[in-house]
Amino acid sequence: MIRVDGLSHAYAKGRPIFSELDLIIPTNRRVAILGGTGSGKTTLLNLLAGIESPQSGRIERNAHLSFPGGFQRGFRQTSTMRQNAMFAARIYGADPDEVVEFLSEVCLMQDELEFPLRELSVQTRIAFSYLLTYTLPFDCYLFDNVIGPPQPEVRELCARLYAARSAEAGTILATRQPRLAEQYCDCAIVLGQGGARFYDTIADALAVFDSAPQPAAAAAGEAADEAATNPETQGAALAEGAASA
Amino acid sequence: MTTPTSGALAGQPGSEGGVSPWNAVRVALRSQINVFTALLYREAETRHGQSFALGYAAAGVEPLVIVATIGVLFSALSRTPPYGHSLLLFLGTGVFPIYLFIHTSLRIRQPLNTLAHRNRFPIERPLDHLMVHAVLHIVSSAAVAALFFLGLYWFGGVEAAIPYDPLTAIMALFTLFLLGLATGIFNAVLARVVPVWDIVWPAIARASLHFSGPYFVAAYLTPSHRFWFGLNPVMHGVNWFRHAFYPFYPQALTDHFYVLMVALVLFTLGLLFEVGTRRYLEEKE
Repeated sequence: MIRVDGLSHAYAKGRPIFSELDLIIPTNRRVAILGGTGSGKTTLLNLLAGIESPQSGRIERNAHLSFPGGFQRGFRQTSTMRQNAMFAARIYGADPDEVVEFLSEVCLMQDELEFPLRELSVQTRIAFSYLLTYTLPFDCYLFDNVIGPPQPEVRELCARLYAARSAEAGTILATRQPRLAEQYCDCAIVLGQGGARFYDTIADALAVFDSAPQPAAAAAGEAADEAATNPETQGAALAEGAASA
Repeated sequence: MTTPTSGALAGQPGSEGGVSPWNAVRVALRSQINVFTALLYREAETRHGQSFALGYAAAGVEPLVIVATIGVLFSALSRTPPYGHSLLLFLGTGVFPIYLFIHTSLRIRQPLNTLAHRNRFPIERPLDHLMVHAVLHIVSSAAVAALFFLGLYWFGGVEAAIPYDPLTAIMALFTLFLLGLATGIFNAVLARVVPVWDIVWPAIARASLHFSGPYFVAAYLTPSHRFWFGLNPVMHGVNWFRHAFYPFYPQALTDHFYVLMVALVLFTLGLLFEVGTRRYLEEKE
């Protein structure tokens, strides 16, 4: 379980994303984080993963959490795929040999293992990063909007791995697509207006999420949201806001 | 489908739900050890894009080259050693501790720099990298220094090359290492905010060689010069180190307390700034 306590977060230029957020997230279930564009779902995921540190408040992680699925920033491009996999295995406390074996036999990466990452295609690197996420054992796997790369055959494998992993471990998937949440999750957190609420079933969460002032009425609001996180368009949004007022 | 599980921290008692403090400590410690060993493996494997031995040898060559050039220069000018009987030993006792400081302060910037901060798994913290680099660096520097002084003893026939007071030698080197570490941390953090510092500092560090007394005896300077040279903490470290080799080396400019204090102050400030600038780095991304 993850306990979020009085979490406040804001980027230097922009409105606060969270203020005084309290939340308990189970790490043994398949949880969706539902939120519109700019509602802070990616930020929340990054905060949970520890990629960003909160401005104030604390996050207590009582589980071994993964990095966001498909995370590539830890790789060394000059090292081979095998070296990168072994490093990730060691650092996350898994058995390096077992991880490499799984990658080559189940994930069928054996032909690419001995190549430095920079000599491989972008698609292969992305595929590797997702497959590695599933290969490493965690209590809870984090995903940002996708559970695998776009290539159909790898995606299909990732879906099977997702099923295998989520049978024993928890997952947290941040998304704004109800379809994804329904397909891969059992319960959800709905983000909105700087707050968050946990719902025990996806249906309950989607009822609230769909009825939230999302598509039509919030269009202007959404533009303002976007602008707040993106300083370059801030002026334009302000003008638009003034016009609509 | 069976997915790998063995040796993992996941699914351990205490990693889910109710946690006893002892279990939390155990899991945290184990994860710390995992990170440390994984980084140690990776950093030791390659250095400057070369294999282990070659990469480290390249870093060790620099002080040797300096000792050799100054040695040749002084011989050509037929100058006598400023102190003691062996010119190479006198230069070595100056150049090696100074390079320990210079290389430490340069190397420690690596684990803390902006780019490195970005390219990491979230479980790797800056201090993990700092510790790994420090450990590897102290081992490699000790090896190079031992090779030089033992070589001088075996092949150069300089009996004084084996310090008569090894404890003083180790203490002096360790203090200079700490000073290098503190300076490195401080500079790395400064360079996060003022990136050009990453180019300025190596120049200053290398130039500091000449102000730290590798080829003169501090006590023989005029008092007014001595005051200015005395501000350089590395100078005190060098004199400290020389006391291990020369029993009657003059005491001037050997203030142990001063070097340690400078190191401690820089260390504290550096670590404080490190924590203070983490969010700044995250937001720059």
